[in-house]
Amino acid sequence: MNFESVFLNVLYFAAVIYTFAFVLYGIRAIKGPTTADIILAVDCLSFDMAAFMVVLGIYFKSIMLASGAIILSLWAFMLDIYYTKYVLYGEVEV
Amino acid sequence: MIELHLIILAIVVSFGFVFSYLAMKEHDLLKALALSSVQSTFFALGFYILAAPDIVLAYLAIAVGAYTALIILAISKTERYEVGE
Amino acid sequence: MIIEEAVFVIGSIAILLGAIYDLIAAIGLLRFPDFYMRTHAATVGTIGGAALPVFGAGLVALVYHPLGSQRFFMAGIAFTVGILILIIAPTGSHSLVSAVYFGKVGKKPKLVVDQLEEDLPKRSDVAELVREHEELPGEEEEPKFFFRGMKR
Repeated sequence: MNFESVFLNVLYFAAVIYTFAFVLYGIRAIKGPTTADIILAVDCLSFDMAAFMVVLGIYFKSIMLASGAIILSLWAFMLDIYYTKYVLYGEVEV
Repeated sequence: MIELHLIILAIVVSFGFVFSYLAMKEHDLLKALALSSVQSTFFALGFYILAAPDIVLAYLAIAVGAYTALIILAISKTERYEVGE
Repeated sequence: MIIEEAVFVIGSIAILLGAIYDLIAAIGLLRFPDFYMRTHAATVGTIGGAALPVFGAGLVALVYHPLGSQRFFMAGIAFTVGILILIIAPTGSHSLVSAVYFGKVGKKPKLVVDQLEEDLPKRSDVAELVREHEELPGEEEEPKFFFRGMKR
């Protein structure tokens, strides 16, 4: 079995579906009635984008590219925590 | 495969443009901050597809992390809603 | 090697399944009517749509020979991202839902059973707490039990 051609087909299928899902998340972020909906959409969007970055990094054959996924999944967590702290307690300390 | 790259890049950058416009026109500053973080997440994927990993590392730490934390700190010290014309 | 082919097939199936999960979660996030149901769709999207394809990509990278000797680094990055997502994503969703419930953001939908409502601090309780606290002279501490919605 030729790994490279099979993986190319898998990547083609997955990239189309992931792009469509990104578009749907973006539409929810535009429509969202409250701020919490937008932040929920950002949460999903960033985790899925990190997964897509790892899959795409195998195709590009570069480990420098794939290391951006760790940073993305860690920083996106910060927005949730700061929003929660602002809404519940009114004050934020950095 | 190269066409698929370019299509993904076009979609991502167009969404970033739309979100930056929405963040500019918003009167609730917290909502504007959330919209701006959506824009920076989309642009991170755009830089990734352009094969610039060092810019991705710096842009994520600044635009998704430190920027949102500082703006929420500023909002909590001042007012949330923009008033007046 | 038959083992390498088996690992590759398992990883590819995980990536495809994760993509389909992601599409289902996106449709659910777009179509559900209120915030709590949207949270249900979002947690499907983060665990099934992000953690599963990352582990699949790690399995693929272990046996993907065009990558050269860099493939072990790539698999390490993939498994690290997967474990981080497994830890971080439920924590973020939980804190966001707690912010919406206790901070009274937006309009509350009709709930059949709401057992958490007894745990909400009543306004009289908070006022009594503040009054008790003001009687003691010389203390500067804020009351611990304080939500933003109760302030006015």
